[in-house]
Amino acid sequence: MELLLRASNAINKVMDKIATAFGWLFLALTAVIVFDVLSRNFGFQLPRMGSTRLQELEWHIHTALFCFWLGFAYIKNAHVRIDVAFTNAGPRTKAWAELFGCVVFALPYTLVALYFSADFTWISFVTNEGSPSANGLPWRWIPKSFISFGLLLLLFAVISVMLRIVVHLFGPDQLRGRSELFPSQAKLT
Amino acid sequence: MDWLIHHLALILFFVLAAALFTGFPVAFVLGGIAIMFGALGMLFDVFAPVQFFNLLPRVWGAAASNPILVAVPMFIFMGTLLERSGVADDLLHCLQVLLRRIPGGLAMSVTLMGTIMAATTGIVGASVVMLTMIALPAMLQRGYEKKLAVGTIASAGTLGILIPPSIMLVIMGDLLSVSVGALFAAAVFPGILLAFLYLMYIGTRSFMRPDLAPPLPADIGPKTHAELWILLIKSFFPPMFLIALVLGSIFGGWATPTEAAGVGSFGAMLLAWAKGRLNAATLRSVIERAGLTNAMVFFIFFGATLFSFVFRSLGGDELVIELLAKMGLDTGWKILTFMLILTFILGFFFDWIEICLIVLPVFAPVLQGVDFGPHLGDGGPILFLTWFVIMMSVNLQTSFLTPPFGFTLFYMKGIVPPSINMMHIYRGIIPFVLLQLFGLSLLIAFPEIVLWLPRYVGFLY
Repeated sequence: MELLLRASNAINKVMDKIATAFGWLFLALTAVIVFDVLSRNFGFQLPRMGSTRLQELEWHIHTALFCFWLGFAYIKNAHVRIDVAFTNAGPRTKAWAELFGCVVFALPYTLVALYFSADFTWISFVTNEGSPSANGLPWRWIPKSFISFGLLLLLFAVISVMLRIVVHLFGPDQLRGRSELFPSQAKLT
Repeated sequence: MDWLIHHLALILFFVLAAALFTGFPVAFVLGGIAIMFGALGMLFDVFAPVQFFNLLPRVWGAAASNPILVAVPMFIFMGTLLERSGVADDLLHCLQVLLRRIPGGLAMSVTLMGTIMAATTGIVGASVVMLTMIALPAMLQRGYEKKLAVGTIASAGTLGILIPPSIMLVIMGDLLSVSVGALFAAAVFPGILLAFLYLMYIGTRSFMRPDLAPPLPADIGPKTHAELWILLIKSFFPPMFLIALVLGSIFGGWATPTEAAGVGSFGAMLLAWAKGRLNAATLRSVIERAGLTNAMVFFIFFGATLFSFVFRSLGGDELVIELLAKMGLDTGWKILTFMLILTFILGFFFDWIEICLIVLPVFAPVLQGVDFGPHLGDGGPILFLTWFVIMMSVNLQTSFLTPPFGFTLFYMKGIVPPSINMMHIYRGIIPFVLLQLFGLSLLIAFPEIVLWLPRYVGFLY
């Protein structure tokens, strides 16, 4: 049980690191857009970095920005819920409800989406897909792989939450205090 | 059995509704149910296995490789940064000073600040939380009636989803293929109209019952005219600068909403820097909040795209049209009424993100075919869609404020001091809900309030 909890904590820590690192893309995205607007209006451009490329780069960054945060957002309990049925339920009932959701919705969804996303990325890679526009960016598989990696991280997040639920429901009393499902929620508000 | 298979899309909808109330994250439920019904459809031979390979390309096209939606993370980042930059506190202080002699001046400052700051963010939760934290303590300390204080804040906070730049309008524009610039322009006057109605109400009520809204002491704020001007410039310049930058560049036609959002983010960083708040710690916390909100929005996008794809593949579109026809909803007015009532009810439980992403794709084919004829003038379906989106936004605002499940109310309940209970909140918002309904009926009767500005700046003809 102790081991499960430690595994979950380790996953959460890595997830935090990855999300924080990719979070700086907010600044990168701002910079790319501002540069694009300025360069287009003042009529200069970097060699091989025309406006088409910059605009494609913008949504590539955008894709990375949300994909790499999907899992972290679950760990932080930031995904919206319609919290009507179990608002006043005890922690054990809530844990069971969460376990039900993970098994019925989250796990199958994440696994199926991950499988087809990997396929989608792989096809793009082997066909060496590039931008449909002549002066666009090459290597379409890179942004496509962001979705695959994002879903992989999400899978780990779901596993991490499930580990915590197991410890919470079936573990010894002394671990229960340390196994709240979404740790350090206080940091969010 | 045949009936079941034919109506699988309908069952899908009811299962979704039931499953959402388990309280499991909406995005997971949407995606999970889509996969489940895809498999079920495969079993009954109404969903080809090969269609599973279309799932990811759909998400890719809808959420990832979509240049319009790049505006969303940028507006979220801008709004979050601005909230932390202290610009709002300055603005509230200045408005208080200016309005100190007017009955209900403090409440009016809150409404005005909500209106101005609304133009810089676009998430209901964020606006309401920010206003409650900054303004509620001040109002209670001055001895404002609790109901009036709470109602003012809740209504001002929800204005944020309507007044541009609004993330909701970006997403609705994307889903219904209406230009985001046109929607932004269309939302300006309805937003101002609502704010004006609130101000009139607060003014009249405080004038008749001064005990509900005690005036501020006359000696707050600067003593000399020069100091007053400095205060004015210091607190009004930052938000006005940002609004001019973002909306000006869109309405002027030299930037797309995405570009305006990026430039706005940069502007917000400049403002935070000018106020000495741009350090690594603030940035990190802004990034965390913005990143989580962004992931939340796009994960719902992800799930909802899968959901509507499966819904369509199971024949959902024809089913919706068939059902509407059976209910006798064939004219524009009837469809409009139906949509407004439907979204109003859904708004009790869901935030706009779910409503837009689940309901709009389902009804989009119907809506795009609606002809409203003479009421809107010549110009085809695009006029109806623009008008419709704005009415839908006002309608959603109202439903967020309506008990028993208004979304805003729950956000507020989480942060108000214990001296304010749910009854204060419920009763406080009633007059504002009535004002919004009045505003909505004005928009229905006089579509020009919505359509004039987008026509004027050349987004519509």
